[in-house]
Amino acid sequence: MGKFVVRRLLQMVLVLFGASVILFVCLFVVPGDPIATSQGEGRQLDPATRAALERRYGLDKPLPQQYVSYVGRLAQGDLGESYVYRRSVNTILKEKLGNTARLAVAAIALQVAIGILAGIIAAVFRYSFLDVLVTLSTTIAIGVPTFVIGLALQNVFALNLGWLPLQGQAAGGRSIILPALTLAAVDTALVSRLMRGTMSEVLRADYIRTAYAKGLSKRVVILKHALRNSVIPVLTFLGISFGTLLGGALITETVFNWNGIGLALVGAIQSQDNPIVLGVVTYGVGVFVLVNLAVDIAYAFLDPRIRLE
Amino acid sequence: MRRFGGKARFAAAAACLALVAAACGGSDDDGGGTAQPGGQTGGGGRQGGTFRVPIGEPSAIDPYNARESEGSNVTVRLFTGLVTYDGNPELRMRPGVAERWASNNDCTEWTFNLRRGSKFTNGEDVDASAFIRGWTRAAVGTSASQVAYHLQDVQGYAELHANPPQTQTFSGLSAPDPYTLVVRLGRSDCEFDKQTVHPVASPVPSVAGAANNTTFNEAPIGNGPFMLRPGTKWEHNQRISLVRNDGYFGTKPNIDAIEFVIFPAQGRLEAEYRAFQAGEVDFARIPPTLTQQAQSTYQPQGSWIKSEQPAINYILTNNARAPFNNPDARKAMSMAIDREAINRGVFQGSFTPATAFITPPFGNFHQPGVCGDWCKHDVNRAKDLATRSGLTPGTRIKLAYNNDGGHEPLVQAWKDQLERNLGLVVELDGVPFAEHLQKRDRGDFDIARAAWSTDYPSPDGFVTPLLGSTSEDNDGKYSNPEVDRLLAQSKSQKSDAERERIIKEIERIAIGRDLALSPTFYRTAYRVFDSSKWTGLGLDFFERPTLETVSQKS
Repeated sequence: MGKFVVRRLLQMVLVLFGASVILFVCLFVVPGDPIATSQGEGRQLDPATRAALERRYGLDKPLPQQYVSYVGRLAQGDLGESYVYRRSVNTILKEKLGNTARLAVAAIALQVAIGILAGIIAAVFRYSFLDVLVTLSTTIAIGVPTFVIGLALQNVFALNLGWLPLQGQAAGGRSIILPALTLAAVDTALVSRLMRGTMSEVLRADYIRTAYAKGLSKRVVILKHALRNSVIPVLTFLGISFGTLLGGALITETVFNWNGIGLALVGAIQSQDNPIVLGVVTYGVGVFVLVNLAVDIAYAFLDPRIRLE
Repeated sequence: MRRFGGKARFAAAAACLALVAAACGGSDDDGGGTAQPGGQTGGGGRQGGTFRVPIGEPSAIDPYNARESEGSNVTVRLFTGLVTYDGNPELRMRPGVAERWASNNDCTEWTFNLRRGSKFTNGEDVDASAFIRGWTRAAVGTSASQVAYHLQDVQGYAELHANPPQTQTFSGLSAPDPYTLVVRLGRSDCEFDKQTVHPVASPVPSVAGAANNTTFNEAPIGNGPFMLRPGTKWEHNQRISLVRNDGYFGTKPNIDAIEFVIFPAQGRLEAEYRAFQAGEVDFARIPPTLTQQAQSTYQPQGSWIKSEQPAINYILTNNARAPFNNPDARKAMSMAIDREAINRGVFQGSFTPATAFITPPFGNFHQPGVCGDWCKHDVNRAKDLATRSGLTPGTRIKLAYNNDGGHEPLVQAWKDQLERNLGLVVELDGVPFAEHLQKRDRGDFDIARAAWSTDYPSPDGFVTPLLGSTSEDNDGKYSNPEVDRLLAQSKSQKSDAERERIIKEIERIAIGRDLALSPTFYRTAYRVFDSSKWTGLGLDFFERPTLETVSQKS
């Protein structure tokens, strides 16, 4: 298993390297003038200021040299300085990581709690009223765009009822409820669908019949035998979902003014603040790879037949 | 002075301060205008309270680089410069840290006499060296300030701002005694005092250090009516908390604190407005599409602010080549446009059709109707003039605009009216703002959508850049020796009355006679605020809320 982890971590370095090349080329080759853009719509920059800024950000060097120094700094964990805010990208990301992580954990908790439960119920009571209800509500959650869900929740719970804050993080725990629900909506629906599918299949398997024949209660059969064997695809999905969420929830964070990685990315793309874009995406790729590694390791614990080699 | 593309408004600008803010303009009645002093609601409110203002994440609140409306909105609360502006129609500056100031005869040397005993909130004196420190820190090339150009007329700027700097001192600044600041300019400028209202000309204490001092960048220590809440700093993307500075030398604000609530740039206007509706902020900008709806809801409640801004939208004509090198062709084009109909149809009536180039907030300098018949819709006369000037039906013209500012409905309306009324063939040429500006610089257009606003309470910011034949901002290449001569005269004219006469004359010639460009709309700003809790709020000349005058309802 140690060898497996080491190999995967080495692969991760390759993935990060590949991603950095692609991104760097995309960001710096596309037309546009980030330094001019950082000025906004005001007067155009004078040559001296422009030269000072280009030197500060190393933009006066040829592209390959810029890339080498970027990778060199990246290897030391330094993501550079924002063009617009003139602050260290590491500092900016640090301010936002906690917020994105909190939102991701809350959303995953909802996915696990609601999604898995709904899936089990739908599978066990197939074609019942509850099953139809789950199918219907998941169809809606998947079909409606995230920002519409967010705006609708804001309209109902913040503007009309006034129970929860509309935006921001000032209200502590109450602030996270609407963004977490919005963020979790689609993936919760997918989890319950997936759970219902795999569970239905497992419930028809021979060993389940055997378990019933042994005289085990329905609860034990479902929660112990069936659940454990049907949860693996769901776990894979949750892993991917969590990895993506940790990379920042662009739409949800924007709608709720949630100061996370996704919000930073949206703003940075708009203002061509390339160091932030590079930093956020590099971080996102890293987290995604790590979370999936964790999921692979978890397989081994859930299903002893899977060996990590 | 600046061009803007309309996607957002990046104001740089200046302080409208507590000392004088009771007359800081702004109004909540329908006829409001920033140039009329004292237009606020009610007044006589209660002391105290925290007023919550939504803003976007500023790029800087340190005066050395506070440059868009967001950053300067915060910076002007923290710093008070030499002089202030209260919205008076004579466009006269009022005392700030400087009690008296005067220039020499040719306006190349300015002497500011500073008040004694005014202090930064860390207890340091605000003296001439604090200004020299602040201006030098902003102008030195290594700071790479994006607003330092406001100081470019001061002697020694070029050497200091070079990259790398040839010197570390600002040779044009000196302090013969601790409370006298002498500024020597590289050229005559009888309105230099007005330029010092920009936040970049703020004084800074010695702890400010160099421009890259992050401690000061995040928690600037100033001498203004407010200061950062002790123990806090700028909480990026979340909030900036200010409290009243009880040691302020001027009139102290009524409110105890300001909470700047920071919103993401994406969809900011919508987010601000919704947060206002949810009661999470006390004031908001309004998404253009909701202006009418917001007005019908909030105006009856007295929560509506309408304010004319020192900004103009106009049709730029390429005066350097046919057909618009002929003034009659420009006039025909301008008269074929129905400004009223476009205002109703495209802007829901939220703009004001222009009848002059220098807009109403410029007080006495505004000459309503100076554009005369040329700004009126008159198809028959337009046809006459068009025939006479060779702008015959079937003539192809290129209409340039920036396609990242939501201007499509406007340029489409222009196109329709020009094609219908004059039989022209109008080709639309929309590109992103930066590219659009390059096209304008190259003269690659016949007519273009354009907008202009200024950073100082001086119409010079309109006439010199847009009408002077040597100005790089004069994209229409209007060139009239008489106008150039008058522009030079106004710059070195010490008498305010005489300068006013000259500038009015310039506008009469360049717009009233030559129609160098075709004014279309005055920019009007709208805001909502919570009038159930607050009173005495308006917008100042710089489109900022008058947080120095607002107070709780008693």
